[in-house]
Amino acid sequence: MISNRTFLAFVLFSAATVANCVHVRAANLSLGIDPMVLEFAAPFGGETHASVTVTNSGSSDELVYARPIDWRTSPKGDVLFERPGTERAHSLTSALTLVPSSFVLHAGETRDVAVILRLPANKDVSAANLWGGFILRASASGASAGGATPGGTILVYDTVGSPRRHLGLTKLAVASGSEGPHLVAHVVNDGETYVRPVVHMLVERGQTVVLERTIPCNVLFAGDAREITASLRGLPAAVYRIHFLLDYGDDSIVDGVTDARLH
Amino acid sequence: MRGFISRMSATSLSVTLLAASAAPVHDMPVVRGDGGKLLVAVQPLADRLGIPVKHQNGALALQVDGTWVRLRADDITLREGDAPMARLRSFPTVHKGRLFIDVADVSTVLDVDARVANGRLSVARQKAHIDTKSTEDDGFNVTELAAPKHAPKPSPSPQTDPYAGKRLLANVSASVSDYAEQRNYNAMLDGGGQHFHALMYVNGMEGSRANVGGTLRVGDAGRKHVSLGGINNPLYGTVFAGGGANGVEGVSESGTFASYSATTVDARRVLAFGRRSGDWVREVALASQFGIFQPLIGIQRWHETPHYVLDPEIWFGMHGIGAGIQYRTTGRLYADTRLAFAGGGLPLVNGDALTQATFGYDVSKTFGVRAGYGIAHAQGGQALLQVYGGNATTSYTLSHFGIQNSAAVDFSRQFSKLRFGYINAPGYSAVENDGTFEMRRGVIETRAYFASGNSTDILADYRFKRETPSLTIGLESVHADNGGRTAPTIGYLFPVGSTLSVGFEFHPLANGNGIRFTAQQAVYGSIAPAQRSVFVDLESPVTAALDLFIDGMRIQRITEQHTKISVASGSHYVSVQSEDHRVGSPEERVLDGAPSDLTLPLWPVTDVHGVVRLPDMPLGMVKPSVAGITVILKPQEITTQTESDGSFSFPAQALDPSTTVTLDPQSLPSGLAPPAPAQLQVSQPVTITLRPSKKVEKVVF
Repeated sequence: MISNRTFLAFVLFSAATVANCVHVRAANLSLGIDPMVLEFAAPFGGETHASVTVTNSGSSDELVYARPIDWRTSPKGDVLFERPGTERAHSLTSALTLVPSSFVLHAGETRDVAVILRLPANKDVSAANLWGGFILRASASGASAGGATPGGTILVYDTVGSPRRHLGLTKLAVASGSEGPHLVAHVVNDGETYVRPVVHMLVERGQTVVLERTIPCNVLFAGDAREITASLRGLPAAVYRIHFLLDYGDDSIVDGVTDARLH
Repeated sequence: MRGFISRMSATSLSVTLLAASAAPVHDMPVVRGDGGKLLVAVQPLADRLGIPVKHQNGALALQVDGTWVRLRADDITLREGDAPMARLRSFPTVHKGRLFIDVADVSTVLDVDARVANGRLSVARQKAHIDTKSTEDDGFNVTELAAPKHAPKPSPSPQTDPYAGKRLLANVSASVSDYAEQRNYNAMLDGGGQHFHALMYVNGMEGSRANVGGTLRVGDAGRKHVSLGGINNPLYGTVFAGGGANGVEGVSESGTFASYSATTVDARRVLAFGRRSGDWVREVALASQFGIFQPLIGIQRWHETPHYVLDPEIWFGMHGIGAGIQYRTTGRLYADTRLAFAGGGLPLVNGDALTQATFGYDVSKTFGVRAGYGIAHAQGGQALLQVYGGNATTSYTLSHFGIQNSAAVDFSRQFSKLRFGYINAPGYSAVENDGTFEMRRGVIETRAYFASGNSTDILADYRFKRETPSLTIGLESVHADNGGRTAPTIGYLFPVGSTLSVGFEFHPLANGNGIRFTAQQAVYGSIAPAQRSVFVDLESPVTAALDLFIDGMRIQRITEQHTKISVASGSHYVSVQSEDHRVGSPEERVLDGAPSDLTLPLWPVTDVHGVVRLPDMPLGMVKPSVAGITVILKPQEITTQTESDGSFSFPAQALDPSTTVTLDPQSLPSGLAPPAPAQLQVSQPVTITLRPSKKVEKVVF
């Protein structure tokens, strides 16, 4: 469960981001980050690094600065930002360094920054999953801090050893409500490490595939449960076979199957 | 490693990096070399620009825009591996164990915009770049970064470089010029190789004695060598800071050195012997000046970190002692301080016992100030006050130093450059301006010069941009005390052969006409590497006309099953192929003549091509791309990559009949696996169908 303080922080951050986006267009600032997700496999006591490209596609010079964060996902799948260290033993943030952590990007300029992971030694643990990251913000170069700014994240995972990876499907049913018929799936990460699944829904009528859709799904950490819904509105009344496919990155794909009659 | 540079002395040139970081950087290690050239240390500059640097077998390797290039102190060519990339203006050189390059070469080496104006080097990176992927591999995986792929093996290509097999030995240049009524002339020889280097120069002006100098070096710079001519002052530091030195020096591999030298002013002769070990230099010397001999013992430390330089030293002599310390910092607020004490009995020359304090502050990215005061033996106190600034296209400097005031403004854009300069000293003042404006087919050059004494020279000309003979036409106005004229100029620059270019220009003088003359000769020498004998045995008898190839170049016809050939030292690939291209052998590597016995099979020349296809995908799996999949021919490990439609092809080549075709699993899209290796069918297209790599875990509700 998330604390009220975390939820409040998320709400405030979201509101600030929305407000900033409006101002961003007016100021013609821009911030591009690629890749936004890094997955490492460094052991305890190990060190590794990766390069992230930061781009200013706007027409003004920008001062880009980074702030370390902890984060996690809510049962609905939203990303919640936290103070560094909140995830305790799972927090990777104190072991991460962004070089440089602030710099000037001229209009149209691209720069590679280094994400360096130096994991302290821990002989007692052979397998673990840690995560952390950074928020990057950009302000007009020369402007005082605190103005409206675009932002983006670099989310970093590290897997130590070979923890078991699995995603279970505990419920799959069709429900109806004010928004029309929709598929409801309950997914649980019953493995020992995080999963970034690719979720796919496929609806068959007889031998014909009538609907095929990829459903966005954020990361599930070990023990996390998630309810995923997908609309079935628009399908004519008939009997359908619905496949709910979870590719969780290991050697197998979960294929949940249910039959439903839509009215 | 001491004394590798002749006549080098610290200078007040400051370095400003624009666009690379928010804060300009000053006091990058800069020295003034032979002929007045300004040299800047490569590594600190590269570090500031975020360019990875590493030392490789006596060379400095820099990763510029993703490419590793190499610089050597004895090689005027910038190289990628052994391949020449660009020719530098001057040989890189070593000073205090660091590699320095001419500031005119900064742009070429580091791929940046670099401009020098009035004692200030401005460097602007258009695209800052840090490539951390190039650093040492830690053995861990970063799964979201692109997996490394086999590069397709390049097929041998014929050499097209007209200078292939030749090495640039030297550049010789000479010029005579006159402005208003003042005639100047200079000539320079700059050449050498890995174990020898000569830099000789003559320059002067009409009515005064010519300045002749230079250095001859035998041995490797930075390592064991002997130098003759302008050498480093063996006592150089803060106590003995003044005077150049001519003489001879020898340096061993371990850093032990011996030298005999004389200063160009105040006639101090020094016989020195010492050793540099790490940061420390320990030295004994016998000095003589004005008929007085005295032994000296000195200890110096050259300590340098990325943030500061701290060089303490102490000297004991028969008639006095001396001690000094230099402390220099970098950053937005920076300092260059030296404090020296020298007893009057020491053999001092003009400029020794230097005590100075200079401080600077970068007020903003485009504006900074520096101020200081210095005093030295036989020199009155001199104040320095400087204001400077600039951005990516403009830089300016206003200076007061001692009794001289100066100002300089530079404008630089992609196709145009304009510079204004002003100098005022007792008895002399001048204003000068020059500019170049590039056009599609030519360049407009302008120059204006106004000096005290009614001396004026204004020129504007147009030069055609051609590698072949090129014409210059323009108009020049010249005035001096005794008259003045305005008349057209005409010049001609033409190559003589492939290595000599000669140019001359007729132009007006205040009275009469003058001629300006330039000549530049590049001297090449043939490389004749040692040849090694290699015996080539063919596995089957020769039944067709066979040619032997080295590095893809046809060398000779083979008529017997056993043949002796000559292969140059280094790495080369040897193969044979029939005249009708039906049979041939794989390429075998010969490194420095090894293996000396080469057995080559004769296989049919085969053209392999085909397509990689997707399988019937499991439900829910998105169809991935089949582009960029690495196809491998085994056992030769020859690779290529698929096009966007999955097709691939290998150039026709001799292949073992047992060759199989397989795929690199690392290059496959997620969820797919390669099939078992397929036997190659001669002249048949190869179809490789991938298979799903995932099982389906079915859950029914």
